[in-house]
Amino acid sequence: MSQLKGYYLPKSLKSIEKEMDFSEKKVNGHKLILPVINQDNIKDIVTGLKENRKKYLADMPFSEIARTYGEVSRTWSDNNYEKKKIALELLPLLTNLSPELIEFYQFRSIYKINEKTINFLSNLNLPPEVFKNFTPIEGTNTFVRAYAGFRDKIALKRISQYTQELELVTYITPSNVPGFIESLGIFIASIVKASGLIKTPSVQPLFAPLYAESVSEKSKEIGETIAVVPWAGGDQSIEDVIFRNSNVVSVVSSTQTAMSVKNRVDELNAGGNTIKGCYHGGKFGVELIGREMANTDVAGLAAIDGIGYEGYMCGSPAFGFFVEEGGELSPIEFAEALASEMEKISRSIPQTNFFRKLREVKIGEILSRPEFDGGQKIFSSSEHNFAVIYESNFNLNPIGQNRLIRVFGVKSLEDVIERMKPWKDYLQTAGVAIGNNRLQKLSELMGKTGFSNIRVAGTVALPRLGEAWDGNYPVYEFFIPDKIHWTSINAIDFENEIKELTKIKNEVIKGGVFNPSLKVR
Amino acid sequence: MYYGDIMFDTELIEKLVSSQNYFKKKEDVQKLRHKAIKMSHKYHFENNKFYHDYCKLKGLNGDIKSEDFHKIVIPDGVFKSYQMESPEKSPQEFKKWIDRISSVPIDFTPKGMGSLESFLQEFYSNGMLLGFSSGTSGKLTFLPRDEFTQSMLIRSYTEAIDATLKLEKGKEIFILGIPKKTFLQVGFNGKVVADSISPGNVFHAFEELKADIIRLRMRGPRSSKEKVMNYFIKKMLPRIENNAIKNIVSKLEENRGKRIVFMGPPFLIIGTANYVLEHGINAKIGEDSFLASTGGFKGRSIVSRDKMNELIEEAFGLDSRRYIDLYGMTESNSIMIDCLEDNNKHVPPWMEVILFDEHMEPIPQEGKVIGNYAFLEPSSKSFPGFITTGDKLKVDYDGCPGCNKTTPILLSIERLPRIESRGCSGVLAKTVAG
Repeated sequence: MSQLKGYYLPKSLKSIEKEMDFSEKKVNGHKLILPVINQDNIKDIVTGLKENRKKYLADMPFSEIARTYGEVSRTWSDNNYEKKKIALELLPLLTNLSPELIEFYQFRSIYKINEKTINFLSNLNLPPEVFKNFTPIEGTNTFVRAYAGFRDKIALKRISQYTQELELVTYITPSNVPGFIESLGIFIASIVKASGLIKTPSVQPLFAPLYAESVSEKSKEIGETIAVVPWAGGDQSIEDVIFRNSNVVSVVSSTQTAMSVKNRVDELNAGGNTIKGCYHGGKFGVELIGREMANTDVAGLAAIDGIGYEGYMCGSPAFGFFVEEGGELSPIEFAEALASEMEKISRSIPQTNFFRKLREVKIGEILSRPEFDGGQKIFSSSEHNFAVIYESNFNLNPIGQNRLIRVFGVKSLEDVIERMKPWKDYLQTAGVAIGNNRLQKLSELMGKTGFSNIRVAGTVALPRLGEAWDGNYPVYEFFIPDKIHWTSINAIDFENEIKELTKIKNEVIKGGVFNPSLKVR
Repeated sequence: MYYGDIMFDTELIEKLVSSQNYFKKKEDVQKLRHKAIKMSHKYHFENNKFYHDYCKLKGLNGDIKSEDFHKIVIPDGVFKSYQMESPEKSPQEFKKWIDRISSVPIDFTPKGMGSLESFLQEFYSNGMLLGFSSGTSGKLTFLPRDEFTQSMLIRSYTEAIDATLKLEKGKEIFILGIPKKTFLQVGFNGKVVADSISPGNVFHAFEELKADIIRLRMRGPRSSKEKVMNYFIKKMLPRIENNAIKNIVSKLEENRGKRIVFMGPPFLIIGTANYVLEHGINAKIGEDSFLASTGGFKGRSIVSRDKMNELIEEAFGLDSRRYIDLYGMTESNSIMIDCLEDNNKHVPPWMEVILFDEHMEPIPQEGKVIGNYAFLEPSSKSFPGFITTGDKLKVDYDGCPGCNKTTPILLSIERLPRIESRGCSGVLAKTVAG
């Protein structure tokens, strides 16, 4: 039985291991060793991380940081990389997500953490036009818009450069998007030249240590500024030490967890600390298909969005897929085409029985409603991989997980957006397929309604460089108050993007997701 | 609209729901049970619109094999999937929902006569019991039981009791810590079963518990009128609970030394025992009496089985082995009863227990296993009794080491965290809590 570490500590802090207690978790013939951290351990870890940062990272050129993470990404894109093989063997057992799904949505997002991404984020300087309209951001394929009051605009101007020195960034990571947030936390800490402390999700404490080891393989120095450990969320004896020593605490979790951390950070700040809290709680998404894009290609991209993380990503279109009437395909025909595409894609990105059963539970509840005596139609999978339900009555109910896809016909997308206003606090991502001529106007309406991520259909679960996140802006959120609401559009030319993404989708159907020549976009 | 004229084989069900099957060879009973499940599935497939669509979606039709049993279970959420907030205010819509989940025709038009209680009474008077339980969200779960299914519920209970307690029909004295009139399923079950065993010898600690009050207590007030009502109910409830305890104590005193069957939710049994001990009352009942509790301690401090045993022995003079705990649920027609020999809860021979692992795969029925609980109960005619639940059970399929029953036993019961805490005892606890 091989032993795997469910934690990562820099080499210089190895001596702390002797002071720690450990527990074991057996997974498929492997023994995952998990530390039980106490207050003394965490004090030593955060002190060591801060010292190491001064020694190794504070003066490291960005080019070196960029080279390191670029190499890490390329290493992970090699299907024969030993750590990737372990991750793909064990993550499915821990998360119930299929290896293909993990590869396509998680690992392919990690491959984007390269020199270009790091150079962009390390020199981030958004133009003032972002406060007036959606503005193309140099070096990316992205529009950004910021909604803010006068004072916040001034505040943003003042921090056009990262003048404030950050020593420690702490990331509390979720279980629904296994791996991506942990890697994001690690590399973003490096970008701001801070040490990074990552709290792993209890469901899968595996990926972050593997990723941190990869970083250490490529740069011993950066490896000295990362620690990955689990601890019981809400344990004040541990968290107070961490929070007091952190310049930034970023939580990506349930709204309840995010609010609980916020309350504690606010209390500590009231006592004289200056911790910047970044809170990313639970959100829901939606898919909006314009009549000009109601066609089979877009149905295929919508299927990619519906499958992403089995609908549990905060941006997943849990509210449903809203299709404008009057297009090449009527909404019900679009639902049928979506089902046909889901069947094909599900062969390359299969669903495990766990999520299949969860879908059946929800379908049971939906089917028991009297509306199903007429007006509704289910397009089911002969291989039980999904269910597409065409619903004639408009309703907003965020139940579209587990490949339970709900399609609604609507007169206009503008009307759908208007009706989402009561859900403002929970809005985040919209997968959108519309003509370029509608993009600015519709996006403005969406931004004002509370959406933060407008993503071209097919990319809902595949974040891109330059995007906002949850109404905040990555890296900026470490330095500025949360009063500014950021919204981004992840493509300049939607019509062309849909063509390019369709080619990738067809490649996925044809050659699967482990095809080394499959493009990352 | 009904799809076919498949008959429900009541004789087969009656043969299956029999106390004798607790003691027969496992393989023989399994054969009979599987035959009944297949018959029942076919009947519901042909007569229940929801179930028909659900099975079709899973690629199943009216004829199934035993290997398919794990595929036919339906989520318990089905029985609270109606969309309206107050069924009595949308009687036609609600009936449409019942029509969809029911496997028997409901050929009357409900008027919705004011309160929820009178609305449920309207259904009951027309042959359809809508027994309910509630989640903490306050959305009531309704199970439509026609007269045959109600009779099977009584039969399932009495046969399970017969296999364990050997009650004397017509001679037992029942003291019930449950209301005399209620559509809350746990209360209803206790009443009808006791009435069926010993008509005229059943005492109830409460008179009536209206559905409207339970709903108000579970979901909280929704209007200023309900706020006022809730305020007064909250004030009154501790007194009602105290009066119930006093009523029980006085009945126990009246029957001192006699054989009685005392049944109620655990919090009321504890309340009664404490009252007896605090007031130095002699409430020692006959040594051959039985005390039965059902459900958990939702909303109240949990008291261990050992502490309960101690209290019961001290207050009522009853050997702890004659204190039996019952496990049932609103969706099921049956209860699992502790055997007297070893206090192990036995799965009735007419129920098929299926456990699912953390990957939602069915677990082979061998030895001691733990998993998410689903059951197949073919005796329900008016709804498919094939249901997944929010409970996690540890089951020993090898059976009981202490008695001669051949059915599996439960080793532990816990609520799954994702499912809201619910259960009839919880409803009673919350309803009467001050």
